[in-house]
Amino acid sequence: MRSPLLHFFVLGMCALLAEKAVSRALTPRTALTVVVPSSLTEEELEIRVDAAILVEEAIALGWHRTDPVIRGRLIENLRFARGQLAAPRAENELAMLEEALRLDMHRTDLIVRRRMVMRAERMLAADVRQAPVDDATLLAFRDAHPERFRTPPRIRYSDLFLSRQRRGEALDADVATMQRQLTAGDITHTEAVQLSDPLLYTPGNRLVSADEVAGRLGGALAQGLIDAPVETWAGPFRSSFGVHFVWVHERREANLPSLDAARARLLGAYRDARQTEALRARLNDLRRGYDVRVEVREGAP
Amino acid sequence: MVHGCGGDGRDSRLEELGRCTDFNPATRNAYFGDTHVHTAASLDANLQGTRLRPADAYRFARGEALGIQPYDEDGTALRTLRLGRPLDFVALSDHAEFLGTIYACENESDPGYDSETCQQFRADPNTAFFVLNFRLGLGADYPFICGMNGVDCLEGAAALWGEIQEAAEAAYDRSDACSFTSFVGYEWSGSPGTFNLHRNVIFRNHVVPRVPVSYFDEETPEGLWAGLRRSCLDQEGCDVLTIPHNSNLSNGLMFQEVRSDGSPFDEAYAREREAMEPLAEIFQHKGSSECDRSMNSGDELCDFEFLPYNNLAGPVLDGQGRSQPNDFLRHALARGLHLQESLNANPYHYGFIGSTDTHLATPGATSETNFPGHGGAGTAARDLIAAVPDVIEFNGGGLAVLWAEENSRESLFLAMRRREAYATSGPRILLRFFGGWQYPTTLCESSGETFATAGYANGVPMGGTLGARPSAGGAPTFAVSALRDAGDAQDPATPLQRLQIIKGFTNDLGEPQTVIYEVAGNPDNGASVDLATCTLSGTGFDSLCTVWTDPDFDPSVPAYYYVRAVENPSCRWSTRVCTDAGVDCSVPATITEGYETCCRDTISRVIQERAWSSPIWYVPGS
Repeated sequence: MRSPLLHFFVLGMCALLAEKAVSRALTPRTALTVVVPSSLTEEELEIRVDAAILVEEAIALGWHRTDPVIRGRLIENLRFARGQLAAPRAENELAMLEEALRLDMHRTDLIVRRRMVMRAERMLAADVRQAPVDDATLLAFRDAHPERFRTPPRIRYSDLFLSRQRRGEALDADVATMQRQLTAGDITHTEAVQLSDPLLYTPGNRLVSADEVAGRLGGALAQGLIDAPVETWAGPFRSSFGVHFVWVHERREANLPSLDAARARLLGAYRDARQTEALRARLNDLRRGYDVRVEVREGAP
Repeated sequence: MVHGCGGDGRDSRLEELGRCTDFNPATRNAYFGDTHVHTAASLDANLQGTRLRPADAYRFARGEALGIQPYDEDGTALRTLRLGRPLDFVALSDHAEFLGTIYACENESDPGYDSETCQQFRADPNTAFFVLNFRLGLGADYPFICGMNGVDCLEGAAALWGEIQEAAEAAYDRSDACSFTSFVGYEWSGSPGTFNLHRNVIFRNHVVPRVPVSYFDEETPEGLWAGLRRSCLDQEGCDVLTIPHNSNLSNGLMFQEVRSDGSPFDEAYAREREAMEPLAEIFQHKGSSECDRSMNSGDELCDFEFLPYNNLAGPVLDGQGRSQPNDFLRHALARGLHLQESLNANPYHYGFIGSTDTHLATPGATSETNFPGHGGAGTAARDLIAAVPDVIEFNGGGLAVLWAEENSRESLFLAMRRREAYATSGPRILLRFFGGWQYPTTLCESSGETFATAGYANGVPMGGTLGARPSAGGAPTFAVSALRDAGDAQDPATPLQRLQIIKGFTNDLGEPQTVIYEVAGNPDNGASVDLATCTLSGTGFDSLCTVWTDPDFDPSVPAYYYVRAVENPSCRWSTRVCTDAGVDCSVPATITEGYETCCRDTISRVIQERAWSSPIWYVPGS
């Protein structure tokens, strides 16, 4: 019941802004001076320019008069400036609003500016979240961002653990002895596993993720498991608790999840990305209507 | 009333066990998570400047770095936070009471948008914070803009509740990798007279009520459970449990032994509470609810993140309100056993979990080295970063750990149901605890897998109740094993110091009794921490393990047993903050503005982080 109304409102706002962009193309560009301090990075400067343009657009749409938050803020500002905060609200608020606007408070008050920018940003990109997305688009998005959706490598392994707590200063010598035995093939896999010191965390017969091993035992061992050859002893690898030799039975490399398994996650991420892109594109459209001059001034906010 | 049910046949999103490649039905795996997380969908968090939405909270839990408040005028976050290690699961718990209010005040198309309440919400968040939250303490009524019985906020609440559900679905890994699990949940925020009765409500899967049952709908815990029966348990595919927290701030209400209307407990009440509430949150941002330091002079470890007041207004009312015994779980567990003898059910049959209660949408942010403050009842950082980032007696919160077959909703929910769960005060200590009538003393010489196999075969895991005593007699025997946190770049490892088994029961008068047994490690190991540098010194243990038999067992007396695995001393977050600022409490000139609380003599400089297992119960004749 609410969505159609919202949809109508968003589309209407976008159409209005688009119409303004078109009409602006036929008219001279608006001069806009953005005053900034010298300390801004390039990225921060771009954000300031975008914000300044959105404030101008908001004013062009009349939000400085119609937005209830802005109206209330401006009237309170004027009352504060006049020292009338504690006085009864006798004066016509419309007149007070006009007075605040005449004093340019809507361009200088940080909260009013922030309100205009946030509302404009939300309106500019809101329609993107409503648009339907087909499976092919989601798959293409997944494939274009494998680092975001790839599952970590998973390993099924046996662990021969030599405990620092248990072996103390003999640990290094014990590791060397064990390595010689394993390299020479003097003991079977089963015999070797039985030589392991007790360790509460054990992989068992399941596929564990490298991330889990890193979290429970430490990152060095997890990396060792990722790199270790299959069906042979590898190591020694240091963990937070001692030294490990590992026998990797099976390794599943990192892979991308199926669409069915990750549909909701892909859809959310895709819409986030489209929303950011749409906002950027619409800001770029708006920028074409302005001649922006950046003025660096010490002490500028 | 219920979202998500398929039209014909079984909903494909209702799960069966065995999907995940880490499926381990024989010995189960430990999963670390947070079940108490607030985002911008909570009124208090929103008004304190939290802008991260539910979807962001899940991104944070999975390891992404996110900006957090305060924000500058360009909307750029002035702080960034990232977990040292991702979590395995998260349940969001935004306050149910003001979902519709937030929606109305944030959406221009809502009829309530221009109301005075919403204008204040947007223009004067400090005042709105107190005005709206005060309602929770004064009485259970929706704000005026929501109309009679909140009907005008219903659609808005449903919309925001929908966002919470969508975020959970998007974050849940339904592939066989099962890398992350999300739960749909919320917080029922009953706090009559500022006495905390809050419950986190966690749903088993995506089938949830259309809107949450809030304190404004049902103003008692019994009403909440009845509401959840109607809107969830009586509906196809829906299942739910509730988790009380901060009994330490309840002024005795959480465990008062009468119903909300003052009538005595009966069997039906006890059964309902036992069924709905398998777990309690023993530790979080607002302190420990384990035990009362003032009534347990024999247990110095009760003096750990202990709040010096017992109500939610404590931080702003100069700490008024002293704790009483029934503010704490240890007391309730014993009384529950006593009540069970007459009620045939145990109303306080609680296992333990910990969580953060973050109001910054940063689940799992428990680090003592990088504590941003958690907001909520603590310090807001909407406009500036306070010198001391939170109410100084608050802490970074804890974690919930579940022993489950795999990292899926179904498996984790069942682990919560059977109480195979434990709490930590932040570190990722691995802890196993089994109870039975005979375990070989050599069990600690075996691998973790063998230990667990024998643990299940010969008894019950944490959260269970011992089986019948053998006819040959004997005393309960417990196998307990702990592995310290491996640490990470942000939070280096701290060795374990000792394992304790805490036994609770009641005497002939029904009064709670506690005995604490040192069962492994060394409480006098001399470990310490340099308060100037926070450097640890002394010895400790990577792992501790023992098989222990109760030497004082009386087969006629019901009892519970739980484990505390305790780390060596380390610096509290406030010690780090104050030391970094050059505060030396013996030199007044170093106590600069904003750092005055550093020198309160009630604040410990040193803490001993820990894990608490869920209890194992002994009930004669069970």
